[in-house]
Amino acid sequence: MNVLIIEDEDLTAERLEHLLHRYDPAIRVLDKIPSVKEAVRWFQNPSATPDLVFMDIHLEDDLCFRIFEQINLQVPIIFTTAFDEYMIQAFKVNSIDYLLKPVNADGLAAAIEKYKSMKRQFSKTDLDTLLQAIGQQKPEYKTRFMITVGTRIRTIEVAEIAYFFSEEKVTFLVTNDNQRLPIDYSLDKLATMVNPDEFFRANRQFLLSLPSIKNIHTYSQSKLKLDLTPAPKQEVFIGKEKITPFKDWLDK
Amino acid sequence: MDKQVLNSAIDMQFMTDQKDTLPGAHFQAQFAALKNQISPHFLFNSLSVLSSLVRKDPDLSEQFIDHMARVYRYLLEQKDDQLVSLSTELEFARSYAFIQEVRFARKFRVEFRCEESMTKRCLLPFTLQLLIENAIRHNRMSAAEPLTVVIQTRADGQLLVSNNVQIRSVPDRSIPQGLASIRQRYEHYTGEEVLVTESDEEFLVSVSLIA
Repeated sequence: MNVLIIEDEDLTAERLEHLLHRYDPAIRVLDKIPSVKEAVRWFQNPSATPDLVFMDIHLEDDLCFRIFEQINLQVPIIFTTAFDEYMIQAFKVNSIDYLLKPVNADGLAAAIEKYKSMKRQFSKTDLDTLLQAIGQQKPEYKTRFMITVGTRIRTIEVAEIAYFFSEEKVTFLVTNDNQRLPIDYSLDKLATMVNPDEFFRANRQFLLSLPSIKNIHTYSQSKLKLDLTPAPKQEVFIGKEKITPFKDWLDK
Repeated sequence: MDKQVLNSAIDMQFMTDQKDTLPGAHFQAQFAALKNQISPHFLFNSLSVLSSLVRKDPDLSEQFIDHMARVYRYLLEQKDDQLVSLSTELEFARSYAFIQEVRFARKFRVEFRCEESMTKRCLLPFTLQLLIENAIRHNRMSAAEPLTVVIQTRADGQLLVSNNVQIRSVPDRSIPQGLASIRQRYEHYTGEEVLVTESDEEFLVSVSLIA
């Protein structure tokens, strides 16, 4: 782990370095910097990227917050000071923790552990975002369904499906040409088997394909009414809590 | 207008307003507040320095502890309305300066150039310490541009405290506003005016020693 120390008292900076090495000898202190001016200069041309910065509030030439006014710092910070009057201000700038001087080994260890746990969470999120962005991890969606009607077995292509609906605990598949066929899966299960870009779970009873939606009416402030093709026996509504996800889906 | 003076002028305005509305006992309270304000900051910064020094230089640590004890004893002993001799105040100021010089090694220095003949004269306690602190509050310091405070006496009985000017854009709020307090106290207890003169290079405070 690379660490940068910004501190105007040389002895306090040395003490911090000593405590860091005692905590973990592998920690590398990139530099010890006493002023705003030198900190800005350092970050404009860093020798290495720090994983973590320890920063005193009061520096040789100014308050440390001036650094943030001059450069965009994308690095977690642990603040150190003898007094807590700037605490609120400190927490506005990517602050992980706040150590009071004299810094002791336990307080330092707790702050670094906090940093590590936050980093683990951030890294996980970043990984997820990355995977999503790459988009290569798409799950396999069904392209057709096998249907048994009496003694006959047939397959229906997903493109032929207008919607699925359930009625009295039985799930039906409705094709574009208005065949109603019972299917073994529940609506919940089906919702995970088809591509969510193509099918939307409108309510407890309907899972719709986009082409099946003929008209959308504002029924009341908290409801939308849908006309489907082929038309089902019952009316189809989008409830209040589904309106926003529905609009997002339409707008994809 | 020089910023160091400007900020002090604002301090003065604030204090003057207070004086008009509060009874005389206010000064005692203000003095107590001032002492309490110095203590926590000074104490924790000193301990922070000491925690490093103790490993690095045990002999210097011993001296450091000794000077800290002197500073705190003086803080407890002095009463606002009792004048002290310059020699007593100087002894305290040397301890205080020692601690700050160790804390800001190579960046900060105090020079003492007082005539022996003047040291029997008197002044209000903490005058020197507050003026040293005032210089730290308002000025930048670095190894390349050290801050130096000079304390000297003049034959006409004036005590002069000066520093080179390297104004910080924002004064260090952690240090109490000493100059305003000094002026107020001198006006109240001795009727003497504290003179401040400043140029681009030097900030100078002049206090009349009491015979």
